[in-house]
Amino acid sequence: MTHSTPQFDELADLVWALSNDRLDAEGGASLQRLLESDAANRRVYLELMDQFALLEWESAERTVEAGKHGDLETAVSPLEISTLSPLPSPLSPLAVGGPLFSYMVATVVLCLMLLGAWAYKISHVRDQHYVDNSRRQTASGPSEQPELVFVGRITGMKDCRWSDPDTYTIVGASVPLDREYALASGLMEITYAGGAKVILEGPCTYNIESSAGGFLARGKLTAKIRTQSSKPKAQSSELFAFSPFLSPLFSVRTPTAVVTDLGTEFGVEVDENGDTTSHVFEGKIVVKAGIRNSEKRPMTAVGDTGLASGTQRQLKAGESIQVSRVRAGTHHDSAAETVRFTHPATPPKFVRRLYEPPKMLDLLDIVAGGNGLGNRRERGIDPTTGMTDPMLLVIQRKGDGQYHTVATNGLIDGVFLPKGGKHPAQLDSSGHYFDGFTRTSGTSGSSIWVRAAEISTSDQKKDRWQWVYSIGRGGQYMPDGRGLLCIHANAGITFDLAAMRKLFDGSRPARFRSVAALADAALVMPDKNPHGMVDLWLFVDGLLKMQRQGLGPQDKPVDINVKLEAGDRFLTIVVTDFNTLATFDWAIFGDPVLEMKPTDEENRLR
Amino acid sequence: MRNRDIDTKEFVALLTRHSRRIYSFIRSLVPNQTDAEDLFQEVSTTLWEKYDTFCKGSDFRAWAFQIAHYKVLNFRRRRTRMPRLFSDDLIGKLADDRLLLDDSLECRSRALADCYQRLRLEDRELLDLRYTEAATVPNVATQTGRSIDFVYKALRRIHGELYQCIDDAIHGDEPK
Repeated sequence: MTHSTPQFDELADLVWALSNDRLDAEGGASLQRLLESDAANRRVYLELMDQFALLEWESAERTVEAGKHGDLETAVSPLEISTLSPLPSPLSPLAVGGPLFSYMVATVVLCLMLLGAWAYKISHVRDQHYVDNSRRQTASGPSEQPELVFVGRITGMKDCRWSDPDTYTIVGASVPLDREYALASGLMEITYAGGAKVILEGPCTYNIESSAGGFLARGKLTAKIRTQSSKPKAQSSELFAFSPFLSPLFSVRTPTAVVTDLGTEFGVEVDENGDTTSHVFEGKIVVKAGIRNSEKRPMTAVGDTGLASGTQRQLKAGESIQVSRVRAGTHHDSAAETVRFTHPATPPKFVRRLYEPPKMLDLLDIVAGGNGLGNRRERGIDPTTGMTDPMLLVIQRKGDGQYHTVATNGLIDGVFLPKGGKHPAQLDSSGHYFDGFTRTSGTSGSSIWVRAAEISTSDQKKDRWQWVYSIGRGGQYMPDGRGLLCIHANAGITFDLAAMRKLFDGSRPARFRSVAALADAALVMPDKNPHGMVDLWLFVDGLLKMQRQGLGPQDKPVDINVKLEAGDRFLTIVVTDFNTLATFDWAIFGDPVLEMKPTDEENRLR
Repeated sequence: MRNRDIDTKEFVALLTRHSRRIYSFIRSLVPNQTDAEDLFQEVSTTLWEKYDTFCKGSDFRAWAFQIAHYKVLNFRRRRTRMPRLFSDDLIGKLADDRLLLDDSLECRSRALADCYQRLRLEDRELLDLRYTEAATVPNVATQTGRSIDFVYKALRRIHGELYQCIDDAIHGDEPK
């Protein structure tokens, strides 16, 4: 059977339906019949399923990579399909035996998944998506098709409907030069390689004319350009050095004007007549009158009063201007074009972001592998390696004195096990150290674990050493009912606030809140005469912001409420043993959240 | 008695080398992706637990496939309430065929990388989106603003083109 036969098509249709859970009973019976009757059919079936499996496998590896980079763009980056034979991985031997055997097996499997992702990694097309624009004019390759030059990516879409029904694009797709987007409705965000973000608001038609701008034929857009303070000049120069369009200033052309950015956020609207209204939210812009396809004709501009004026205006924050064509030109080159500048009484309304920035980030979700907006629970991190613990491991793990980055989530900078005493501990990847921890046992008693608010009775009774469950529900520590971040001494975890600001553009972490306590082990195993006691530490960029020494199970829970500034980079939470015995040091942080604050107002005042 | 540390290193090396093929084997017998992923975890754990019984120097992949086959059958028995798509007999045939075809499928997987590059940019991007975490056809439809039916058929076509390209490549024809 070849792939051009009707039988192949029928079989491929059935297999495709099967792999998408869309195979009905009749289709299932047909597939069974085809596969039973002919070994050739089974071969095709197995080849197709292998194709799906390979793509899924590569996708799983890519998800690990996405978590490592911690950004949305990586999560939608192209598939990396390996052609290399994997190599044996030099994994350290794992201690095996005793009741922890099954947990260790799970760790082995997890290591394998992560190492597999590493071993199969090859260089790939990801970097090809931002290519040297200077190659744009070298038209044809072997396929005799013009080479596409990409100037950015689509970084957001919301309820998009296209004027041309054959259009489709996706978040993460590369944006080529000369591509026109005709949006019937909805919102789409394009992020240029130079950092400029443009939000198109349907209905509108926008053409990617250059690596630093485009042509808005109709409709509305909002453009936000990075300021020099957030984007080093050298980087900007490098970017434009290979651009075929050498203007370093982002500009939007319309049928009647050219709106040029001077480091700002602005909106542009083009109505059905081609008249252009511009409004500045932040910074400054220059609006220059210019009739498309009439550049060679003389132009006269008049102001609100009808008197002659210059052909360009500079606007600052809060100002708007409209450029309208007064008299259509003729086909004679000598005929003059006249435009009028007017100040609209009410500027158009523009959409400034696709999504409302979050008001709160859930640190439990982040530690469990999410981005802070979800409700992930029941996962953890090994404080001695930074690797994911898919199940709670209650074992004494010895630290190596090193700071370990967390590869699976870009919002977590890293973890560490403070030895204390003479050994300063590195708190974050910027190299902040702290030498004030009292000497610890140098071990940690369990995974840094995210526990759900609700747990079953059987979980509570299953194994009393599984302390995050055997301590009971712990509702008093989580008034919002979110869950518990469980940290057994000695362990520290550092969150990357800058990565959060980058991910959630338009807002920033402004406050860390939680309720901290030490769970009472005596209620769980009174026969052991437990004596847990811990020190709690909170740092921001290496500076000690809060400390609670000698927190015992009988002490009142500690309300944590730490203000975070706009430029703060790292938040570090540390639990150490109070008496150099890391046993029963069951620290819990209830409802840990980061309150977020919009940055629009701050940016305006800056 | 074996040296457990050495065993661990060897096991990790073997499983790393063959894990993708093992997943593919399971996937061919378990049509649902999530089920296949869960079973892969289960099989990996069992392989480790039973590694003491593995005869060194023999075919790890065949041994792993055998264990995976039994795990799939057990899984089907556990799922008594769900309709079984294939008979146990057919599952057996598929498992046997899958083992025999494994080298051939390995060749196909190498060709897939090249054929993926030959896809149109839009097709690659649609495929990328489908094979992101938990991106089902309906999710892709929502994100692209297209109908579910459009995305379903487009992906079916893309997979068909990939399949044909791979066939051409391994049979020595210049892929179109």
